[in-house]
Amino acid sequence: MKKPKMLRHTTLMGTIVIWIALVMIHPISLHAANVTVGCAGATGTFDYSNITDALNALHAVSPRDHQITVSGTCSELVTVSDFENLRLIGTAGRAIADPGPSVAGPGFVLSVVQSTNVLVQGFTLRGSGKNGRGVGIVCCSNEVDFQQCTFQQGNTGLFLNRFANASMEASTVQNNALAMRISGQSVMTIGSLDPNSASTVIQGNDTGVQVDENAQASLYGSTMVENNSGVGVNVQGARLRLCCDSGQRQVLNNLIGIVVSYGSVDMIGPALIQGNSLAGIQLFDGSATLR
Amino acid sequence: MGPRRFGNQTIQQNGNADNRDSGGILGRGNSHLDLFSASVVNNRGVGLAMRDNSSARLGGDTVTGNTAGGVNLLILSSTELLPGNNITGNGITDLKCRLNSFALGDRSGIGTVSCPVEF
Repeated sequence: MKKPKMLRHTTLMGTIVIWIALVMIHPISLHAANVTVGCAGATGTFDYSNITDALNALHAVSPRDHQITVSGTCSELVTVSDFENLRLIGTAGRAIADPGPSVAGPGFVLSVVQSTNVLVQGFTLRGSGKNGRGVGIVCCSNEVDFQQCTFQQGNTGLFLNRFANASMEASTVQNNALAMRISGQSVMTIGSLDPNSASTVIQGNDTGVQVDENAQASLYGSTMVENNSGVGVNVQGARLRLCCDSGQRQVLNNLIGIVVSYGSVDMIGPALIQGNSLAGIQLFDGSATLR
Repeated sequence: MGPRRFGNQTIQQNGNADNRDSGGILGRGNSHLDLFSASVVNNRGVGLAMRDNSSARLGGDTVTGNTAGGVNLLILSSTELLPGNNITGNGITDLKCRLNSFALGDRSGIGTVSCPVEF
């Protein structure tokens, strides 16, 4: 049945009002941007010469839906704050390096705070040594994903704190004092369930992974924790999972493979705990389930 | 997708001969271990030691070739032996209990025993 002319007019006006309201509520798609950064060693033409300037400019437009493609070596302290849907992509030979102690700023080379759905892909993140800054921190953020990254030469490779939720795959964390700390009720997934994904390797650190303060860490896929001079994975009042049936988790040649104090470790599926010089698994008022 | 392969954890060649408190899996201070379908083999020290009011449940496990014993229970600790274990061929004793510790359950598949065992 045909609607009266007045009713059709009202319906059309209503649709327009709703459309305008949606655009005002979600202006993000109107401001999304892809920009390039060329740091030292990069050749070509770029929108910005450092990541910090790119982040500031993009955030001034909108905190949502951006991609920054980085070339070269950026010696700066990068803070990703209050972003949503941000992709930070490194091209070949890209790195973010500690500019040194003379540069004031946060205690980490890369900080991700108060942000959601951030992808960091293809970077070497480099500190200035075990007594220097940390390399990466994720604080109070959700869905932060590190892919094909290397975290090295810091006092901490990657630190998750205050309800952070992050994942890492096909990456390497090496030559730090502490490779990773997952703390403050944070949740970290290390490795991938995709059998085609490259292994994540945590190696050559003083301590491998520390999980504490009611946090949870999961080692997936073919993740390897090896050749750390102290404990491979140290669980204190927290939870560790090794899962599942894609790949074999390996904890090799550390001082102690896995230590659990006042917490738990669950292993489901293949795992190899081998060659740790004091013990493979050590429990202090802790529990372990291997099945 | 292939069949699920749960189990299949291997703890091997850990520890060192110079440290009597080293080995494959060490639990103390009110700890608990559930170990099913795993291999604890060829560790330089004890395969599995639970002490100080700790407990373990073992089922379908292989505990062999550990130089300072297979399963050691010390100081008010216990283990429940479920079917399918192979705890043999370890140095000293395959299953040992000291200081008010005990084992219970399925005796089959256990080699040398120095334990009050409720089978």
